[in-house]
Amino acid sequence: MQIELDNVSLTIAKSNILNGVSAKFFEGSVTAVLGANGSGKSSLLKCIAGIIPCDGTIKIPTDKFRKIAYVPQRPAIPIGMTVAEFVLLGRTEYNNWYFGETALDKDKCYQAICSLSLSKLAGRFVETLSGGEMQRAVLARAVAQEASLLVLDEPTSALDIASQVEVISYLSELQRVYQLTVIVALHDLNLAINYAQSAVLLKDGRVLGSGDTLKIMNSEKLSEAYNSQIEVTSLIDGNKMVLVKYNL
Amino acid sequence: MIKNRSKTLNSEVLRAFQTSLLVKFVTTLLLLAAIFSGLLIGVVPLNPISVFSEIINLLPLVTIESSLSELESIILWQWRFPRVLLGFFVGASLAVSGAGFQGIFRNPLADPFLLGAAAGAGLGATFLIVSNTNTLFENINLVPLGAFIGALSATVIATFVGRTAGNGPAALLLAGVATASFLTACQTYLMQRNLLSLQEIYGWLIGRISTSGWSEVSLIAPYSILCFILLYINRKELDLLRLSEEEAIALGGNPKRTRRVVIICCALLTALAVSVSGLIAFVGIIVPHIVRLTVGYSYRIIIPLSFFLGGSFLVLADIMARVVIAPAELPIGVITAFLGAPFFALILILARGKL
Repeated sequence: MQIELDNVSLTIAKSNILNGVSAKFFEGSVTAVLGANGSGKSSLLKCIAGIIPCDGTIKIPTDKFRKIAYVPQRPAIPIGMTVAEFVLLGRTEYNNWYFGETALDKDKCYQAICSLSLSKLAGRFVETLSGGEMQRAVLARAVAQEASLLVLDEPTSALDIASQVEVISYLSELQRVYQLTVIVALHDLNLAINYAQSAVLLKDGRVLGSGDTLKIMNSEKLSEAYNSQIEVTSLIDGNKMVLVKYNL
Repeated sequence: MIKNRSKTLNSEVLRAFQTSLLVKFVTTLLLLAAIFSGLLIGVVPLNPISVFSEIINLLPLVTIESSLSELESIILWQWRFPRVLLGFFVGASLAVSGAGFQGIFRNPLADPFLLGAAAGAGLGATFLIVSNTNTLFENINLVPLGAFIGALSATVIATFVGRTAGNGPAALLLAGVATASFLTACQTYLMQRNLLSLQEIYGWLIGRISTSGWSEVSLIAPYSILCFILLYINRKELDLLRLSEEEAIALGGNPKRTRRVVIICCALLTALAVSVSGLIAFVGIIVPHIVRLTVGYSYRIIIPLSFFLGGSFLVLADIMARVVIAPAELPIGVITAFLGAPFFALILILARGKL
């Protein structure tokens, strides 16, 4: 079972953001969407999540992917909203119009809060959370949605190294436990090459390559996509490392 | 890392999910206190037990002897009761539409008169007062109708201009400002040309709760209840609007539909409120903020509490307006600002750091 994009195009204000993007995303896997700024990563994710309409075909098997959770690049931080209320927003689609959230909604919400180790912060206002805690709250909201497809737009870009590691650990744990399909836009190429099983490389709204991460993320393709000199090397433990050469 | 779910819900999580019973109790108590005070207090004081007996008599199969005289009974049923209910529905309508506008515009300064309803109502009422059309039909006061048409027309114009200019809330907000400025200029021109009517216009503009029987109540009550139910249904969607547009859509919301429903409800509530009571300032802005600062920021709480507290607030303000210089009456707009502003300032100080 897979998600298929066929000739997806997007034009905003006469500017071509996406030009005939075709790619496949496999069920239960992590796919990284890579590319320089302005290459169309965020727009592609929004099209997949159904937030903006686009031309072309996006085939998402509805029996497998009933709900899609989308985590934007900069999630809004509503003032005066507790973490529990924030996570509860993930249950909006399930809510009864009059009685609001049911015991089941609160239960799912509680599970999501515990999954991300947020129970001690449940009564805190979201504006008082650190970057890493906020990102965990956003992930908890996605878990509460009971989504099987998780679309994340650069979830670690505003975090320090420790928080990045923490958020990615939680993310891979969630993906494994809930058998999620994850599509994630990443700027950190080292994270992408070691975390994602497959990748879609974009340049100027077109697909430069898609498929197995190790095949796609080679020195030649990455250098072309980012207009920089990029080297991919193997470490002793088998992990890959991406090096950028600076001409200073 | 993923923890097993414990059988007992963590107390902090549970607390965050509950709307305090104390809040519900205080709101109900305040509402009952406001209504009973409104019925009992006035130039002619009424016996509380007799009034209570009269109300109990409304219940089917219950008959209790009431000691109210015929005159007192008329005062209660034809004067006090409609006035208290009118005050309640006007206050509730203004407060809940202020909360609704603040929600869709994501702007804490938004009030019910944001889309030019006040200026439209003012112009409509001024036009009818200065043109003496009001006296054309005996026993029929056309000023409320003029105010209603003016308020609704101004909102429609502002919405049309705003939607033509763009989809965002900022375009609508600016269109409201432009419409209000234009209509206020027209109203000022009419007032300057008709100096003899100034006092009457001014009396209307400052707002008052006065009734002649049940007609005003029966006009506003059904719409007020209906719009409140619609806003209550949209309370979770209003919470989603506190996030970004794309997050709201991804979480199953429909921001466009929510905005449309909320604008229609709030505009209708505001137009009805100004048509029966003139321009009562401050209720729409302070009541939702008092709820935010003292109870919480979720629209699941703000919408119902604004409705009931707004209503109670205006009933209490109306009692003051009747009592302070009795037998004469103060305009209620003076009371809402005179008492409301310091009280709001106190809440602001007590809740420091929350804004």
